[in-house]
Amino acid sequence: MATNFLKQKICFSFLLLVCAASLPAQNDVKLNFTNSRTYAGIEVGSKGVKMSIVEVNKKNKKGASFLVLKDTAINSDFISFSAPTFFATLNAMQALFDKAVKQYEIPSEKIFTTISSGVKIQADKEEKITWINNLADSFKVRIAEPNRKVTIIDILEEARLSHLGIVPEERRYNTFLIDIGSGNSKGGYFPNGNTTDLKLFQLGWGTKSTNNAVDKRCDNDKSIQNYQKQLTRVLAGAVNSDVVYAVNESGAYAMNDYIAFSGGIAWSVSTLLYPELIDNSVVPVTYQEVEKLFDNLYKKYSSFSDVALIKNLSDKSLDKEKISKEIKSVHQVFDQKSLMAGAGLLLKVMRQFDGVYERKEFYLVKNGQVGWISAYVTQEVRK
Amino acid sequence: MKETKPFLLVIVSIFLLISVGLLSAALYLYYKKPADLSNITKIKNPPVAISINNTRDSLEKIYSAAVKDLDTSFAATPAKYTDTLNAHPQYPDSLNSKTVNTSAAFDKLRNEINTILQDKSPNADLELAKMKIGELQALVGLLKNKNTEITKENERLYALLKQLATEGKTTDNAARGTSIENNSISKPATDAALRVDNIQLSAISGNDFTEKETTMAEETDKLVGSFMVKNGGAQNTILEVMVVVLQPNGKVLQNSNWETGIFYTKSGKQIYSNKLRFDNNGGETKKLNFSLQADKYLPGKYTVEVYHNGLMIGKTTKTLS
Repeated sequence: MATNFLKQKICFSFLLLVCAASLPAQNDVKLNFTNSRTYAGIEVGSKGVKMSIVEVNKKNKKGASFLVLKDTAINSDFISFSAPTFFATLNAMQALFDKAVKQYEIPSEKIFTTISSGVKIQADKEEKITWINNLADSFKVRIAEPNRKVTIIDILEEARLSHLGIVPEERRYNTFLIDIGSGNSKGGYFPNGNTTDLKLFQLGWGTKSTNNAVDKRCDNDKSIQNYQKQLTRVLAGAVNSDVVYAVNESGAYAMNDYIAFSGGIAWSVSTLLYPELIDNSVVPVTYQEVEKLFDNLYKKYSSFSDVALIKNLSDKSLDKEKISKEIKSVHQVFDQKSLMAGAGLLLKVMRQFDGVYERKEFYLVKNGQVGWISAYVTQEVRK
Repeated sequence: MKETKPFLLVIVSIFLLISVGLLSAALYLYYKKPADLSNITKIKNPPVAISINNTRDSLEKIYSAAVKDLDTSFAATPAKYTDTLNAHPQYPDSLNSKTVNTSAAFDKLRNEINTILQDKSPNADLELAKMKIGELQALVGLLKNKNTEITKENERLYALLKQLATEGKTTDNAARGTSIENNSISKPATDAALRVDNIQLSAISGNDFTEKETTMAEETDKLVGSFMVKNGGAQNTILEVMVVVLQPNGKVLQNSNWETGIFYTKSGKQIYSNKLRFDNNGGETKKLNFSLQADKYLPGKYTVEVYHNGLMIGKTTKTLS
């Protein structure tokens, strides 16, 4: 028991140290709107805990609008449902809460805490729903707020909030948003001209699951040539039939002009394709551009290194150091095979919307991870 | 000795007679030459009816010749001729109105001359008819010259258009024409023959209810622009044009992230401020509008460039103080 307690203490101290190291010495949140207010949203996800600092402009004529000022994440792997990951998650929640209160000077009532649908789905599968309740209760005790609301968001609500958080209001009713995750993809659109009815889109393929399926087919030949060969088969087989079914079932083609993709692969592809647009949270792309990138990921992978991409940038006003860092981050998160798998899956979905007579416009969203929590904050503020 | 001399005498006599005959004929012709038109009025004491009829006949011949001459000049349509005078009725120019006036004067003269010549009475004012025929001849000359000028101008414009089309396919350098405002230039874009005209950029201050144009960078809340676009290429297709607005510091003015992106030109990647899509229905002219909002507007020269298929097809500038 004492050993466990000691382990927890060490773990907590380490997390605090990590957090402290990543935090600036002063409140570096710079407001962009006049007459605005700052809120924080803390979300427990499958991989870790995320915090978004959101600035809401109250006097916007079109309704409250927001701007994500900061987003921070601490990996804790809550869905392993083990004691260490439980406490790691709890400690991360507390650390981020303290950061919001002390560093960003956001009062407690303006900090919202939620648990994402991915956690709920996994907990339901493994009958670990009590772990979620325990986490919420423990957090309330830690911050000494017994009446704090820790909301569990279901998949439909998360997809709805993601749309509200990512897609601008003027494109609300003609944009189909798809989040390509690691294990699956989800999204939707608003077919009825209101933001309460979302047509949910679900696909059982994500970047990681596609990569796993290809890996399984590769057997002992782990060469990139064999990976490419097997990837083509996976994409043409199960992935293709599932994508065609899911897109047709959604009815999204007829109802939308714009198709937006979020998730890690969207961030990676947009960064490698257009590194000069590093400051743009959304990047428009064409099917042909992504197709070319997909080919080159296999044939000319070295051309996507930070050095090679920076060399091609002619605009001297660009912050090349920042761009280089971002490209390196992409390569840290995804290796060549994962990039090929993710880009291949992305292409499969895009293909369904690249008609001969009517082509949709495609967008890659980089900061999709803060989308739904930002919208949740905005929604709560409106109440 | 043979008698050869009588033969010689006969031949000489014949030549002599012929010479005398020819000389007489020449003298006769010299003294008996025909009266020309200029002498019509100088004939003294001719029989009145015969004299008037002769004059009328002569005048009718001259009049017919003048009218025929004009008809011949306009009968054949000049090569590559387009009715430029009537093609742009919204731009009433002096040449057009002058032509209309000349045509009316011509018709009036014809009527007047016809009236006089059809008057068979001895009191017909043939002198006036002669004067008017002189005016008609001058007018015919004027119209013929005008026609020649128009033909030459049309041929020159046709050659220019042909040259522009050729240049548009091979290079995107240099402007091909000028539009009315904002120092804008436009040129056809490659095979699609997409043309833009009248590119405008305005700085607007105020909110949605009290908008007004300004030239001050500090007062500017947004930039709005428009241009006319016409496509002579494939019909019933959706076309895209990219608008690049360069700020005085040389950076591209970017709208929301959803409206900004990158496209490719011959010189490489280019960030656009706005992408405009439109339906191309039967080559009709369309007006496209765009609006850009920035956090801050710098004083100086703003450049608007319009691209299609990676080629610049129009450009204009606007200066904010």
